[in-house]
Amino acid sequence: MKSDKVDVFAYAERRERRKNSLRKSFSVTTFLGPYTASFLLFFVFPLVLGVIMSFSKFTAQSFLPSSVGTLDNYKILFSDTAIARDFRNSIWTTIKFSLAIVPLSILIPLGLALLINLKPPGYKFFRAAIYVPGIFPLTATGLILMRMFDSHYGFVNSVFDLTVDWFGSTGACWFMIGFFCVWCGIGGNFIILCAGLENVDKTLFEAADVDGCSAWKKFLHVTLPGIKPQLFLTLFTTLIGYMNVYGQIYILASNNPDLSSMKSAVYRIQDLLTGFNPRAFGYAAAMGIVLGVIIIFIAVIQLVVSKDKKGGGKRVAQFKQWKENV
Amino acid sequence: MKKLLALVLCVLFAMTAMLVTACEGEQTPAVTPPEGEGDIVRDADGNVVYDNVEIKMWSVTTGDDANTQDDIIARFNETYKGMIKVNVEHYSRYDLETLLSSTIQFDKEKAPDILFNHGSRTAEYFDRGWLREVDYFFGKSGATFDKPDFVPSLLESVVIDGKAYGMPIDCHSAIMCVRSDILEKNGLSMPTNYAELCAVCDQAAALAAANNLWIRGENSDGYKSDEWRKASTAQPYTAFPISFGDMWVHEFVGYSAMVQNGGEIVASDGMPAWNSAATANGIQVLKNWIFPTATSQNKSAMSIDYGSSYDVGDAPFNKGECIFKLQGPWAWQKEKQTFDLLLSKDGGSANITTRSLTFMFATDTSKPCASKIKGEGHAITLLSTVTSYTKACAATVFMDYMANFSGIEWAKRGHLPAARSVSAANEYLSDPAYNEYVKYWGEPKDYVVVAPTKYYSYVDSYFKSAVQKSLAGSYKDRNVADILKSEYDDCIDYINLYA
Amino acid sequence: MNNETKTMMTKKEADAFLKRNGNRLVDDTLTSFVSLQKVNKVYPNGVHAVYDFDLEIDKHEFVALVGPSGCGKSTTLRMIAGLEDISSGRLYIDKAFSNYLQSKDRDIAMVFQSYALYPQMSVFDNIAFGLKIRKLPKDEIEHRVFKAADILDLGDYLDRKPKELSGGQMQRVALGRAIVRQANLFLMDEPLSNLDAKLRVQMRSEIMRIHKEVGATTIYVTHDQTEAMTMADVIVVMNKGFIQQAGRAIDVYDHPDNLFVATFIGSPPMNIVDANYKDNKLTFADGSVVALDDGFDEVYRAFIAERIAELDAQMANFDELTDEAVAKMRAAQVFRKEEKKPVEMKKKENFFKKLFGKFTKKRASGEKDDERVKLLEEMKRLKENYLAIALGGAVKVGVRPEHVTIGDEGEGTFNARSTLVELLGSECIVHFDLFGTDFQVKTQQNASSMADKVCSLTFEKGKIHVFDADSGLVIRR
Repeated sequence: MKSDKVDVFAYAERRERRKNSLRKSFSVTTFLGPYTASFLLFFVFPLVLGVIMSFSKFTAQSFLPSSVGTLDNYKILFSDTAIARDFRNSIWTTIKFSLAIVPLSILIPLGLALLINLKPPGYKFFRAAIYVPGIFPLTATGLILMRMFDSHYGFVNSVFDLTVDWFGSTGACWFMIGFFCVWCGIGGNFIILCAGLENVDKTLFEAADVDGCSAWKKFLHVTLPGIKPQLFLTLFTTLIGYMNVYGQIYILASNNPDLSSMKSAVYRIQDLLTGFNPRAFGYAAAMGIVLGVIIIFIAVIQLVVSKDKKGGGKRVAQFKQWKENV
Repeated sequence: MKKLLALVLCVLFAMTAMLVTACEGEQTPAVTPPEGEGDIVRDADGNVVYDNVEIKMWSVTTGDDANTQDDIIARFNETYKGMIKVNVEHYSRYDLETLLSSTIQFDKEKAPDILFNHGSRTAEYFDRGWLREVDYFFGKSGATFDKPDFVPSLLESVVIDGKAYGMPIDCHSAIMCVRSDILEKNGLSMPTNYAELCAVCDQAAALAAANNLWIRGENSDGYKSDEWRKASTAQPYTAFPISFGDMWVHEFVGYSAMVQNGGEIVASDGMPAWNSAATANGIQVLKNWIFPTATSQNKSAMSIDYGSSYDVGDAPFNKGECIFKLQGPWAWQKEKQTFDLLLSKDGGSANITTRSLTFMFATDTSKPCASKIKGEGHAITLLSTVTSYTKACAATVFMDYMANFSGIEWAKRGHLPAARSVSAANEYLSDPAYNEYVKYWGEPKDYVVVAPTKYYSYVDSYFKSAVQKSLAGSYKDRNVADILKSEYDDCIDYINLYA
Repeated sequence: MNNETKTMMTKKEADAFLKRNGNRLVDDTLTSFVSLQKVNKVYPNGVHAVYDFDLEIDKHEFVALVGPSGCGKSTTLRMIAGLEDISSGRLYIDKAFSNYLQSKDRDIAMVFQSYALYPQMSVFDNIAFGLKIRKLPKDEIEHRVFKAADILDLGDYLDRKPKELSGGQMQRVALGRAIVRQANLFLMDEPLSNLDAKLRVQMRSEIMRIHKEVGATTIYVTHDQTEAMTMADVIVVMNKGFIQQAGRAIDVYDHPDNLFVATFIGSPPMNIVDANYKDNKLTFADGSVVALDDGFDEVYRAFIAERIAELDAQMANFDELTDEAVAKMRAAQVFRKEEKKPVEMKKKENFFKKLFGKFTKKRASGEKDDERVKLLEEMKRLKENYLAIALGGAVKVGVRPEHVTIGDEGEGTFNARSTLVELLGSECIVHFDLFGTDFQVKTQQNASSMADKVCSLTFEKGKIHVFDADSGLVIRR
């Protein structure tokens, strides 16, 4: 019979260790628990389900798929049907839009943050005033904007004696959408960049002064590198945010005759889902996954480009050579 | 820790996959055709006994319409007290379908029993397995469904494969509001068709150009609102504003222009049929409205290019800067109130009148289709969530009542009765409101709605998009026929996706 | 331009004069490289950080500004660098008037306390940055940087970023950055205070070596008097915005001008004991008497007389003193008495008070009047005190720990019990309880034998410093 005796010391040690690790993990689970649960429930689960849905076929009758494990949805997206063409155009439109808006969304807040950083009189008021537009609901502001810029009864056209159809012609409509996005969106980036600017070491500016830098050079060599982490954060989140643009276009371009060329990727997905008819679920899921992959791709490129490069050994080698020559 | 997380994720994935594949192929069982008496109890005379049967109805009417409907339903409940009670909930049409979809899938107990909705959705709802046929239950309950009495187009929308899935109740469309005081003052006659409309508008424009057109209304020139003044010569006078951003144009005028000129909306297989020369002619009528050509009926523009603005007729109509405008019939009371105030010293609301859109876009009034008005109809449909035959019978009693007994009240809100006998009844014709305005809104038989098709959303949205593009200034140089064709091609593509 | 007539000329002549020197005011009569004349710094909130700073620094000199925290040394350095505005007074760098000259045009190089290295650049780029900005040719930059790296032994670190360097290496990079500029004036703001003790000593000698090699004029700010003593040619001791004493290190050590300098310079600090002076003799609390040199009484009386004469002169011209002068004198007095200096914060004036203040001038001047009254009172009190002690009175006596001999009980002047013995290895410091205060003596005798014993203490003749209790000034010829 195998002996069931245990060494008291080893046993006690095991017990104590287990108790200790339970105690330590208790606080972790209590604090992380709710978040992990929500994360799994609202992010991981829908993501997995979405991937599965994109490989399934649906009919109008039921919310559950009629067959799983088919590549048809993706095949359709890469074919030459209207749905594929519309989707590809919308992705291209979204990318163009993002490329145009994202720089504005970062440079304008950066400029404002630099100005506020000089702390002129009343700067606290302006700081709040710049952030406030972002907290208004999208639909309400969009409707107000549409009334304000209405080509016949709008306030803007009558005061400035213009006849521009702000929402009817495509170019003007894009301008309005861009204006709307920037007006609402600069608040967030502005706050982040403001905070970043305050954390730049002041003595670096003095050192730059003594080294002989002009204001522009100081900006280039001290300010910008100092806020690099904040800049990358804002670039990252703004880009992803605008790749998902939907609300602004939905409201402002609703009356545009060329609406189908202005629809963004998410807009197309939404179109398929109106009325909650299950038969579109497969295609919508596939579109969503494709869009997600494209965004991840762009984000990865950005991460790779912005990585801190290691020094290398160029200068050391040069120095050794110089030493020999001397 | 990492390993644990990976394990959890794998388990989650596996669970989801299992769940989904396990349910693979499971669908909502097809509605079995009814047979037998089910749970119907009959009394000594063979009539169905209703013992406090409660029916839940979801209605797409909101606002003032909803109030009127509530009154009508209250009368029904009073009449059938102790037997049948109808509880109604109102939802806007933008929310209704989504709500219905999620409720039927996930929350069947809260699903309604009947639906008061636009008849043109019937085919799509049937396609999703939500509806139940009503003929059988009309037979059981004894309530009448006199199909020939109903306007054919409206009836057609609720009949699929020869079986009826609901009863049409009413129809409506956009109407015209007319400044009869301006017509009278300037010696212009009330137009009754497209040619006359163009003539009147051209005349008005010519008079205005010669500084001879009298108008009155709100103004910022210092005149009192009931004082006659000359229309300004600074810009051309456009008597009938429309715009591609306008809801009336989307929903009713575009279609009406098409059907009055011979176009068809839906083919017999449910596919769109609006890609035709006739439709192009109809749309061209609207395009000429804003951009007249050498060959158009109207020589001067009847509306300026309002672009994407909407409700473009409201302000000019009150100012006297136009003579006609589009409006919804339910807003007619409000229009009267506005003019009662505006021209209170000189007749008030007697200075305006209303007409329907019949003949207003037809280039050839001799054709039978020239009088058609494209509208929208309401119908009450029975949902497949109803399992009790008694309840289904009670629903048919209610449908009968709504179609036949709510006549003039409902018509005053702009919803003309679908049953022809109702609009011919004495009660209906002798109501003062009928003579005042209801009669001008046309005969229900002239109203057409979109024939049943399960591709309704595509047929509808691509046509609307084509109309929009055709009227837009930025697409002025493109041929209407080209625009129709490209929209049609895209529409077909999308439909084929689900074939 | 000391002669009045020389500075007065017509505008035209003045323009021509300035033009000759490239539109800069150049004073050729100056012999020093850096000249500060009555430089003051007053902050916008009213705090007066530096009072009447006068200093002449010759080329190639190593000057240390030393003093406790908040004494104004960093402020002075930053004024020389151009990072702070000069409120009043004149600054001449290389004979040119430089009050309003931009930092980059002053031909200076600065080493900061926090190193201020650009975090995103490599060591090479950090050092080369100033040269790159000035658009020097690439070869020249490389040559200079490599040379500096050689001197500072940074050759292997040229590619690293600052976050990969240790404290000492970072400091050397900062030094390198200053060296390559080949500037004529080096300014160092407490560069070693962030390093550990051993490294500090090491870097100290590095800096001195570099100073010898490069030979630039250096102004070095520190709060560590040992650093100042070991590194500098000239020490300037500051406290509460005033210069206490400026001179060669050994002079400041051996002949401190006042109590503050005496106790600040030297580690362990000079011992200060109360005593009563009369007729060349000092009498202490326990009755012990120490005799001073014969000529001392003359010196004493002359000192008192001088003080009284000074006070008389000031009181006579009292009404003509400007508010500023009054404030300065008050500040000087206050610090002498080691009182807390009242922070002259401008009270946040009520908006309405400001608006209507124009009509109520009386209120504003009320505060200033207070100051004058206090000052006058103080002066009168001092004069009375001095008159009282004209022939002898209470004084403070100072003697350095190494100038005291320890003997057995009864052998020397004083008897005191030892309380603590600190072992330094080569010598030890014995703490005694003398007249209730802590008295430290440095000795090379065996430490263990000193513990908790009553010993006798004798002051070395000629190394006794006598200070006036009121003003803190040393009583000396």
